[in-house]
Amino acid sequence: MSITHIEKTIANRRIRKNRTKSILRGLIISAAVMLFTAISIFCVESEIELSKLGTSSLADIAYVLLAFLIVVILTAGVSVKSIYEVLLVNDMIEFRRLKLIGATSDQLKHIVGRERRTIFWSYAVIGAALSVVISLFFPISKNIPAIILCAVASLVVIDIVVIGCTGKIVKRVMNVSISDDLANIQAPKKKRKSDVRGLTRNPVAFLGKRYLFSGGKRTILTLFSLTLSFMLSFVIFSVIASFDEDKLAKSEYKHDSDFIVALQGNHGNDDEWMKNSPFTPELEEKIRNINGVEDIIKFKCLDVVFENDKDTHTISSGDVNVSASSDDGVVPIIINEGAYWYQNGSLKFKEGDRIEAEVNDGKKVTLLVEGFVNSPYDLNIYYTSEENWGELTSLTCDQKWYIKADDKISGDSVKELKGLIEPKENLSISSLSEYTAQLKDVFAKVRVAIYIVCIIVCLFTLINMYDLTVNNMEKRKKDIGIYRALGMSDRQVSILNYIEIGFLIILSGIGGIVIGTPLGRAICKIMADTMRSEYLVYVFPLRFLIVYIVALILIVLIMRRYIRAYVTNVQIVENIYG
Amino acid sequence: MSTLSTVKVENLHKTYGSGQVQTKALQGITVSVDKGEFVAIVGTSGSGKSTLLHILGGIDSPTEGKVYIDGTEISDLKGNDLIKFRREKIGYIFQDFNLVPILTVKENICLPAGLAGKKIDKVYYKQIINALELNEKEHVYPNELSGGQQQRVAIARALINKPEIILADEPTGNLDKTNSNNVIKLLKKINKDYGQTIILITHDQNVASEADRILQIEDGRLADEHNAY
Repeated sequence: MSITHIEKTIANRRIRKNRTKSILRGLIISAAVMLFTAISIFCVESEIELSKLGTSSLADIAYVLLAFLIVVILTAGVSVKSIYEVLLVNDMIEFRRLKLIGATSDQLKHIVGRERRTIFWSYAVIGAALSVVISLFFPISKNIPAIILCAVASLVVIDIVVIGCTGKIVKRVMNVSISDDLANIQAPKKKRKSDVRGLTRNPVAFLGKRYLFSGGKRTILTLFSLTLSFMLSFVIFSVIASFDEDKLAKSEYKHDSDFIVALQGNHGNDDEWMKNSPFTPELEEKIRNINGVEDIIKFKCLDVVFENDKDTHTISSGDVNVSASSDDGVVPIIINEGAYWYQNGSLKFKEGDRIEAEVNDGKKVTLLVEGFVNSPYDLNIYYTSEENWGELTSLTCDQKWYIKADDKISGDSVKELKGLIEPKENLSISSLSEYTAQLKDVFAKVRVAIYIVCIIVCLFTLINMYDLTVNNMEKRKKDIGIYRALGMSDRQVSILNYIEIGFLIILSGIGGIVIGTPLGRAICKIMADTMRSEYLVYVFPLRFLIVYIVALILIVLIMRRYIRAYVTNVQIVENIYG
Repeated sequence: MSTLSTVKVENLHKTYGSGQVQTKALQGITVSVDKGEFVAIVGTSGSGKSTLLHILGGIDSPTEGKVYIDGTEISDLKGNDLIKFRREKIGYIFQDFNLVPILTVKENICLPAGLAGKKIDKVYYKQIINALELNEKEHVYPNELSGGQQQRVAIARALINKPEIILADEPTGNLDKTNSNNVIKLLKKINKDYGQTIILITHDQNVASEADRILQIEDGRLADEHNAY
């Protein structure tokens, strides 16, 4: 049955009557749609890019953002539900009157539905449009069909969330009975003994506690939503703060080097380039002669085939303590037993083992296991010293040169160094300072993006708390009137309204930190282990905590203003007889 | 001002709204009530009797005029001074009981004392609940009580701080005849036993006839005044 003119009129009048609440509801819906659309566009576009690039770095961010989506839905849902609840509960008398003069349950449903749709579409479209504009600034290739699809899908999802959150309340409106009791707060179901001592000792704290525990499911849901959103932001901030960009940069620049000269492209251990390696003694000499260059540490790699398993393995040169190779061609090696593939591979050796192997130029050598090191962040397994390299091969196996410079190396010297390398097609040079700056820049951008998302999630939490205060004041309007009539001071009225919200804030904060800290630690450890990295060490997100507390103080000040204005402007008689 | 007057009202006006949509609820009421008197205010719906009671109780403010309670002009009192004055001097009984649904009967009764920071006078509390026959219902919630029982709880709550004046806004309005009679008997007993001044609003002439004096209000003006007996 379609909506009639009178139903439309009543719905529109109700929106106008509850203008402030309608705007608040619309803003929450708009913010939810905006965030949802923006995140889903980012996720979809990054997935499309991933499929082209075959990299996983964006996928990790996308999964984190997906977790945010769930929190957005939850917090937005709770906010919308609570606003709807108080609106409709306060207007039950109006619906009862409509029923009294002959309105059917379906007609009431039409009115509430029309009201919901009008507010939803007025604000949701703005949110979707804004997020489409924001998505144009994402550092990913644009995909217009994906953007449109995400915007439409987000509108549908948030609409379903709003319908789901308000369904139960609409049912209450439909089932309203003309003779229903007007009280909008249900008495506690649980029997309890009167606690007069508590009441006389601190009546405000006593009443605050009673309201908190009489809130039932709604209190639990609000607490859950507050804890979850705080915890999620807390964990993400701790993980983001845990990346040490300097360490991350230095992990590439081994031996405390400042520059890396590396082969361009992927040459592997191809014989041809080994025979015509660009890493020539002349180049080495020229680099060593540059003012400020202290040392060059060469990283060499050579493929060898072990006779016992016929697989190809790589021997690297490194700063390891091994004996010199003997005249009979035995080359001592050190095994990195912490390396991932040694730990997860089938080959296991012990000290003194001899491995017969063939080098890729056909030379037969015997490798003698002389000892072990444990370096889990290094993927290379077999090492020997640079001095023993001549016994393995006559080819130039240099892959990288790590160049150490003193602190006072001048800009001219750096220019000279780059001038030696950059013209060579098959070599590239990178510097630690530039790499660190680039990394810091990338991390700063990622942090800003995550901060924005977290701030929006926090904003929902704060709106939720503000909304809870306003709702409590509305719902308990009559009770507050009674308290005031019985002698509760304005200050006590304010405190009464802080107690519940204060308890929820503190409990959700403690819960968020208690669960979030070990969770953040665990995530950092898993990530560090997976990435074999030492630059990811858990950091307590103190800065986030300070920002969050400042935001809470702000919301408490706003709430204080609202409560004060309410107490000053509303007469007791208005409270009671409304 | 008579030294016996507990309540004195001078030229009281109350106007709701402004401009063209003004409603004059009270238009120059002047009346005084003596200490220990039981006064009934009667009038039709919308005559202004509830507004008068709200202003006497300090829960609404007059547009013009003065209200003296025990010699203190309450319109001069602001904020916490008014609150303290009200909780010391006035006990309020509402038509629809206005009990707090999350508190038990005992907690509802003791609430004004708690808010005033007073210790409960256990002997006096026992006396009240015995007199109001609420001994068996101390630990139940208001929604588990009948209308008559809820009104008795509201009366007990109004008495707990031993106020000098009890203002009752249609206390029998939501009750059946038997319960109405019981409540009125109880108020008369309280008036007699504790010497409290009672000002009661009603539109029921039978209830009003139980009072010492009846004040008739029509269109915000005092229309008639006569002794009930």
